Amino acid sequence: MSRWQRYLFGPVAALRPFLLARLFLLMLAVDIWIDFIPHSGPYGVGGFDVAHFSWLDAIFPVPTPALHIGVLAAAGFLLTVCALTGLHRPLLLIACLLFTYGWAMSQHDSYQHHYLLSLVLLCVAFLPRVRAEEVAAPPRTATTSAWAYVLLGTQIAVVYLWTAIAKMDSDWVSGSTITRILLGDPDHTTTASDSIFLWVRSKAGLWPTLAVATIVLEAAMVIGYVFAVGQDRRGGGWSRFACWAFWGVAALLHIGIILAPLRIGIFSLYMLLFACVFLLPLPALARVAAVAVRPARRLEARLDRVVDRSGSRTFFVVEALVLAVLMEFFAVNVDVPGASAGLVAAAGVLLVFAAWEAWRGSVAEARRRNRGAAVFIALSAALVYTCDVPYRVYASIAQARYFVDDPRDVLPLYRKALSYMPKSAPDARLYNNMGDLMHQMNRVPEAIDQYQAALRIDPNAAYAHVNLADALMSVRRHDEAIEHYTQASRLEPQNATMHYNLAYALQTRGRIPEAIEQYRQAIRCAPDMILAHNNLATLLLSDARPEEAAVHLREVLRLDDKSVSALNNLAWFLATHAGRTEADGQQAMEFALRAATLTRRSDPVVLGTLAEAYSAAGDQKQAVATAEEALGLARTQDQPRLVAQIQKRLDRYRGTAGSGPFLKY
Amino acid sequence: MPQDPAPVARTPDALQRRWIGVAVALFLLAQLLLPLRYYLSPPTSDERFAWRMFSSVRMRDCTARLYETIERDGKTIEEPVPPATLAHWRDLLDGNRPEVVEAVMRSFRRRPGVRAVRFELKCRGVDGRELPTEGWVMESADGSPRRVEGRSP
Repeated sequence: MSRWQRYLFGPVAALRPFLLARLFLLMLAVDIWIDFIPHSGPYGVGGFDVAHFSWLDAIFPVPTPALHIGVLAAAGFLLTVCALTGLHRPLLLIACLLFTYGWAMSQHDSYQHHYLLSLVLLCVAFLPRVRAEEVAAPPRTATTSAWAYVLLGTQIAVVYLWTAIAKMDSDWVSGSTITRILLGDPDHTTTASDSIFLWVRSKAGLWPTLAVATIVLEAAMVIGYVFAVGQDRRGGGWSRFACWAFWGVAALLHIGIILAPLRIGIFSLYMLLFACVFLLPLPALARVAAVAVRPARRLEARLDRVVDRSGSRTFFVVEALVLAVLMEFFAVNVDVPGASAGLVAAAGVLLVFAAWEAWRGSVAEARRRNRGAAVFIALSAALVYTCDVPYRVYASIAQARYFVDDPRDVLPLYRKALSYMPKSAPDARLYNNMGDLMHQMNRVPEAIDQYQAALRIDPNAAYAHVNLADALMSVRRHDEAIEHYTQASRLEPQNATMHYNLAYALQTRGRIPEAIEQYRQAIRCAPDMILAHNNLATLLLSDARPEEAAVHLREVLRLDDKSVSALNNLAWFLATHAGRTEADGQQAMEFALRAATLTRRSDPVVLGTLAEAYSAAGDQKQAVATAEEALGLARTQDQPRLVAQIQKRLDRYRGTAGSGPFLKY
Repeated sequence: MPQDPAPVARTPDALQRRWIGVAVALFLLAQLLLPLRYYLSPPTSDERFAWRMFSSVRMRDCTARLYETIERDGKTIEEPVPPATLAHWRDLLDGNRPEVVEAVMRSFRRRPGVRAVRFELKCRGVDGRELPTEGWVMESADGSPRRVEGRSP
């Protein structure tokens, strides 16, 4: 044998592939139910998709949540059966194909480690089949040739190699990236304030060291995995010591990532599993493995006992029928879109293979698979309901469709999600969003009920207070609305919108001084908030404080030089205030002319202001002509009060008495 | 270490060993070379299959905005697309995933009355520095996005 072949086919403790296959398959099956499936919501939203490979888009352009869930549920089923009853290459290859399609069908799933999991699954499919009884007896030193195990170890080394290389950029080495990961981004840290990172934050010199240390540790893992796959043929001594050291490095790296806490699901647990299986010296692994091997051995023995008693094909057929009924019952009762079809199809595939085995004389094997499937049903039922999978799936779909689809289509999804919502962890946002949908559908009393339900769960939910207040405003319950706007602004005092909403409600009730104060608060929080400047200016004008109003109107024009109301109102102020100069008149004329151009001279109020500006600038002839134009428009638009005002102004331009202001609200 | 190894599975024969050895070597070579696709191609924020975990590109703080050019009252105007309608693609748009950006732009460009779609990305680097605004415009629903300055044309 060449050196390469000795490396690839040399003996490996059988315990290692046994543990790797069983634990990895179970972990992945659980991961599918608790992490993959509940993230199906965005699939197909908006009527298009982007797969990881463009040819997948050609095959199935718009995958739906049901397809995503069905494919993954089928994969999870096959993985569990193989984990419980032993590896079955065709079933594992089918599961690998389904799982890979599950993440590859859309870039909504963009976790890089899902690609690694597919590679691991592919390798597991080619592992030798090791039964628990073969590794159960101490000292558990049986060996096997397992090229797929060696391949997987080397593959993991390749991944570490590239992750180390990828970190050799200036941002990582300087410590900027790691600082941002651990402290800077709220999306990637959750409990920084009460963790050790708060203390570490002050140690600026630590971050570059930590960053470089990460690269060194990852590089060490490359050597570790390449070295450790052959440890069982090298013996103890320094080799065992080195493997312990590599295992320590892996544990440090991945326990560190778990503590970090990064949003990468249970990826670090997979890596810790690989570290234990590949890197731990055999005696240590055998001691740890006793915990896992014993129940597996017991399960196998129980299945074997049943099979020994009745190894006939008739019993296989009876069991298969019972299994089919059980699976149908389970699939129908798992209220998760697509799961039913996926599970029934996968059970069908399993039964075909089992029947094939039974027909070829391996009735015991076939019956073992049936039993494994029955255990899957029990395990999955427990998992689905203890982990609130239906709730999380419907909440995910409803939230993804909330902004895009017709409220009438989204509402039933929210109802479903609410019907499964765990009482121990109710979510105010679901009630709030359902309220929003009902508000959009003009079902205001029901919307109010939903917002109130949200506030019963979380009385400090500022968004629910605002939405409830909006709904109350729409049914003219202004005072109650003001109460909720007030609470929202107290809960989020730095949020300009909260103050603006309160100000507007107060303005509606004629509580002008309080409204002015709230508009000022809004502007303090967001100096560029045009609406707040504009409304404040309008209130100040009506409160006979034109100089203050002019300041805010100029601010509006700085932010939006096409604001007709600001142009009009500022023009009016400049044309009419007590201490106006000729320059004020000229500027008033400019502003009013811009407003008139923007409105295509179709707004009698703006033309009235323009007439006043001409008059202030001393051009009475133009003032009269423009006022006559405004008068005509006001008459055409049937605005008798405006007609009377313009008429009085017109009389003044012709040498008679004046009238009130032309303010645009 | 086993005193007396008891093999569970047989070692493949010489022919099998040769073919499996070649296949495994090719597989590993492919895995070694695949990430080079990222490093050797023009700069991109698409880091898939390159094993760039927690890279500085991914850790940038970016905000993507989409604008559509429409005709209203005889005038051509550019309006921002409400960010909420993009919520389901938000992470990938902020992450500037090229294929997703193009598909989202195309889906908006195909809407009735939309003449062009502009995508704008404002980012701060991991050190908090503001990076130059990037922008793309899609004028034809069948064409590719054209790179433009980030500001409104």
